[in-house]
Amino acid sequence: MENVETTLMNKRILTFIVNGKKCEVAVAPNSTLAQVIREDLNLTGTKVGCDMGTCGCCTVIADGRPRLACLTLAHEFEGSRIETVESLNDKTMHPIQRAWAECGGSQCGYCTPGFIMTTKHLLDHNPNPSREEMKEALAGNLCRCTGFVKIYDAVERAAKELRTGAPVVVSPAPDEVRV
Amino acid sequence: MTMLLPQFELHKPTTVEEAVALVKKFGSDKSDFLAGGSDLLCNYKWGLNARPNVIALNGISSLHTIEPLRLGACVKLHEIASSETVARSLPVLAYVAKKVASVLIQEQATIGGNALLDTRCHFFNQSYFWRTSLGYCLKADGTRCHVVPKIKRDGQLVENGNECFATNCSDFAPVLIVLGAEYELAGPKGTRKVKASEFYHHDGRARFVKEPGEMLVAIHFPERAKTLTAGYKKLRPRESWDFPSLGVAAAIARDGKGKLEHFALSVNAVDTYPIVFNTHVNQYLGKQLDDGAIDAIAEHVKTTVQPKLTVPMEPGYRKKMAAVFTRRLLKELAV
Repeated sequence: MENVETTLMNKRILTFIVNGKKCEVAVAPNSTLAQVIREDLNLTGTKVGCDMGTCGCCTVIADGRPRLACLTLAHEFEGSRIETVESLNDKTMHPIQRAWAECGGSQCGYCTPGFIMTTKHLLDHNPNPSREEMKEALAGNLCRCTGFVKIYDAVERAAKELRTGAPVVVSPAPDEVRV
Repeated sequence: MTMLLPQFELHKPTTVEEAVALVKKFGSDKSDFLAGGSDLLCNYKWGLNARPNVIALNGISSLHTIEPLRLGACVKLHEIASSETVARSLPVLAYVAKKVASVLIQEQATIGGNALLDTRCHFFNQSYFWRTSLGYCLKADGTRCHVVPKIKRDGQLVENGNECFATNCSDFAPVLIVLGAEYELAGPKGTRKVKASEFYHHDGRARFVKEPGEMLVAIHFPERAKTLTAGYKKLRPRESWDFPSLGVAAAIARDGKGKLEHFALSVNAVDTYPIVFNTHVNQYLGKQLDDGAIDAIAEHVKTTVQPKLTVPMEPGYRKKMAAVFTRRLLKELAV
């Protein structure tokens, strides 16, 4: 009981701008950004995988840079603008999310929010990345299901759609055509 | 599953003096400095040597400055990788920054944090539950070393309760050594500079010659560093993420006739500290760095290093690769 009281006493009210909305949260000194996003703000799209900075599932964009929410203290982000995967689909799916769904970029889907946020940062800064640039940018995100080829396909498709502004028409692969 | 960080009080000083006053107030054994957090917070989550006070240094603006021959301790690796100033003056640093872990880690990890990286070991970098099964280790909570359980003392094999063999896995340490860098430290007794080559300690627990409560403020480079041809080779299981299982750094300068004027070589991730080969390679000054010399140096490196089973990849393989990587690096620099 004493520990709980100590924790509550040490909490400080911090302000964040999360997905464009101002949020005030009472944050303990040892809370990570991922804990605040998931448990206090209930934005559970951001996942926690390894909790060690290896898998990239918890990636969010803070002040325009991709950051590992599991490995950073929330106190370090006081006043920051934070974008989570929920910021992308207000009413319709974002082109990156659509490309992921159409290319089979996710299977179990647990790593997908992290991949999508890293991809958003990549495409915001480099609208036409090469495969090598994609591999370098996404090296911090791990997927144990897809084998990455479909993920790179999805990044390519999303990049094309974001560049041209027109949805990319998906044509089925020859072995998927049914008569 | 979220691993909870242990309870601590977070302090956010805005000047180096405030940070030093805080560590003086709480004591160096009751406080830790936090820069990027990619090393410290992982250890805290695993219950490794957590302390009740954490002093976050990111709010100190003077630690974030990039100058041609001076880097603040809290400069992030992605800033080094993309800095025009660094690319012009010391391009090898930008190369090394890109070699550290993944781009996401580079977004938060700092050069100071990497230079002061905690030593790593299979028996140390594990969860609390995992370590419980072995009765902990010398570096955290325990009294015996599982890497070298027995050592010879007075001709007799006795239990090793003193020497920690955890490995220094910093990517920057060997590079800063070969560039002749100096670490600017601030502490309760004032500020001082220590050469990077004399900074690292043989004990895997003590790690550095840092006095209690001292913090790294900046890394200074000599004017000479700009004129050196330097390089770094890193061996790791996964090219996209891992700590080095072997890191070789070298820097050379040659005169108009191709003879060596300056030569520095350091190998890391094979011992508790980066091994400096400057005394050995100095015998090649005034000579050409030809294939014969390179082979002899590579063979000397191989026979000198004694890797332990503390990080991924077998010690025997890492020993052989120390020669291979030294040869490859020196041949690249000698072109």
